[in-house]
Amino acid sequence: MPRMRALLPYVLVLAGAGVLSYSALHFGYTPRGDRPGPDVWPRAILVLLGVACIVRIVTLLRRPADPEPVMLQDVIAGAHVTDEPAPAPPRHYPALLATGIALTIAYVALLGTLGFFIDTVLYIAALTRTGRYRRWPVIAAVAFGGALAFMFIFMKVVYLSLPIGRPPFASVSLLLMQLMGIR
Amino acid sequence: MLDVLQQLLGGFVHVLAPANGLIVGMLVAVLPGLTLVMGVVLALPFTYGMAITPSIILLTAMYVSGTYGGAITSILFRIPGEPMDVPLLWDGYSMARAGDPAQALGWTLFAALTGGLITATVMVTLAVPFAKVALSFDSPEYFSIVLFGFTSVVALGGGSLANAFISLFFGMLVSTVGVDEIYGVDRFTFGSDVLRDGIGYLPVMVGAYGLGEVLVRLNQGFVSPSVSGQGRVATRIPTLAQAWALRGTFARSSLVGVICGIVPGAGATIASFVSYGVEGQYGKRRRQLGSGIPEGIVAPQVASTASVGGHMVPLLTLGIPGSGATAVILGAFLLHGVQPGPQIFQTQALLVYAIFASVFLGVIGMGLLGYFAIRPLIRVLYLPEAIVSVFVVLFCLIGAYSEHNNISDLWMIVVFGIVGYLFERWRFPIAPMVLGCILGPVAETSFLTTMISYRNDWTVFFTRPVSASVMALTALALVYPLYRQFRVRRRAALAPSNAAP
Repeated sequence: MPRMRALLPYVLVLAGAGVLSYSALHFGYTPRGDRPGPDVWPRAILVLLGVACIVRIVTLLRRPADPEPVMLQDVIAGAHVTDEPAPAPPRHYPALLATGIALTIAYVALLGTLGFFIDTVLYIAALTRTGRYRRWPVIAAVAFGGALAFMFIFMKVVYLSLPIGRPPFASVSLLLMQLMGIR
Repeated sequence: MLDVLQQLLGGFVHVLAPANGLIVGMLVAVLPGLTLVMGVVLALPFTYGMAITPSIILLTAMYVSGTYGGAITSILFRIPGEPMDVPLLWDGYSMARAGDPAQALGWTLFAALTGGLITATVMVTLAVPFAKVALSFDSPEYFSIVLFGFTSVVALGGGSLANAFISLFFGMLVSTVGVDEIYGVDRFTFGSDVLRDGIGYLPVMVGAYGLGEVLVRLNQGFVSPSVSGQGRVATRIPTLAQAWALRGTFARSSLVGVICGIVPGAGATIASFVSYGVEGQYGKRRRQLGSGIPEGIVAPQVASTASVGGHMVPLLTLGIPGSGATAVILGAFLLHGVQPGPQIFQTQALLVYAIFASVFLGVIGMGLLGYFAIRPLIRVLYLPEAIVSVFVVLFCLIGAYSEHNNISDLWMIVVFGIVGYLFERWRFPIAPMVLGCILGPVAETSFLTTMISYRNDWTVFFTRPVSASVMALTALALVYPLYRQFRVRRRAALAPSNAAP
């Protein structure tokens, strides 16, 4: 099972490379003399990508005891002062991760409808709470203060046109813009 | 009145660009959850409304001071702000624990100042001759140099070579999505208008480094390292006589830092580790390394700061970024419509010399800030990580949105944020993907131009002297790590049999 888990990313990338190679064979273009076509470069990359995946898969199949490559982080993690205990490996919170991703997707999806201010207030509050911070007065102050600060800095100072949303939510953005003197 | 305040604020941002860069650079380096590259990425949207010169100065100042800020938390709290600060734990933290944190901080500051001034001098000395040579380059030379950049990034990035190559090829593949520039053909767009515009390096970079890192830390429950008090924080600069006694260490580590800077891919982290290793082999007191001696502080700190100028040389003269931070600075150049390369010394000479001057001033400013503002700087460690992370994500999203005022760029951030998380999870390095995405189009264009100009004669890469030399270096950069891996595995395989009676 651990070996299958270790193989999974390479198999996925290899399958993706196969699909894209098929797609690259069907780029519609008119050849110009002996010039290389638009498919030459992507196909070369895909071949190299496939070869790298196969090399890794074969390596993993031949050496199941060593599935994980040693990264610089591993060296760093092992580089603690010797007379102190090594830190325990970090616990994982997949539910927090899934909630964080879902909240970020919802933030982007609702940005055009709710407008920057309302959407950002909700997002800051929700993600801070998801990150296991529990002091609601601080969360509320940071959410409102942060969204207002972002709006002022980016709309007023950097002249960026942030989404104002659709009615009735747009009226909140327009009111704040009026108060900040943003035209 | 509000308008006046707004204009004044904008004026301060422009005038104080280097100071702002130094402060923000140190802050991101102090915070363990924020990497230096991520900090430079987050500053990018603020440069859109600025002229190119203050923009690049701001980012360069961040880069310089970012190589120092993390040292403070390494020495005082045993929390390395950046991977490059890890070697400082061994002697810096030991010296602080032995009761002399002020001296440890003083040695770090002195080392960062020395490394910074040396790197600025080297940058000014090397850049112009480099650019003159680069002016004679044609497309085969450019292709071979980009290829060398790719291979050394992969080879020196640490970890599995295959994983680094997969990351690099993935980034190069991402850069091919969209309408082809020569034939006007859709490549990998699958009928999507969003993909027809192509995938810019900015969403890839911001998503993978910014959102991806936050997702990794969220998966770990935002567990911030605990900060224990160290009493009154102060810095005691060593005397010149004390520093002169360590002249060999300063010379060795400066050389290591500059060389690691010039070689694409060997960033400040590699420089810091290599320099500590060199000190362990050639230093006068090598046997005492790790027990809290100044050599163990000076070697990594000088090298990591000295690598900055080395990185700026290939960036300015060839348009090739040698590290994650210089990749972002290259992005800032391109966003302002300026392509770094040998021509920039003729077309934008004032900009180039303003960057040189700003590095000198930045190093001095970093020293002053490090000496006088150390106490407020370490206060940021007490901020809850959940709140800091939410603001990081928002900066990422607004930064990507501001490039084209387009919400579809935000979807790219989300996609590459998840890709960044998966890369971390599956232990693929992110830097090769980002560099592949940035330099992929340069490699493709120079390759196709060569093929068209030299009638599909690929031997041209090996018959022109400069191109052939760089190709040989590329081969060496590829073969040497493979040989090293082979030796390590062979030694490991032989070890049990040797140990047997």
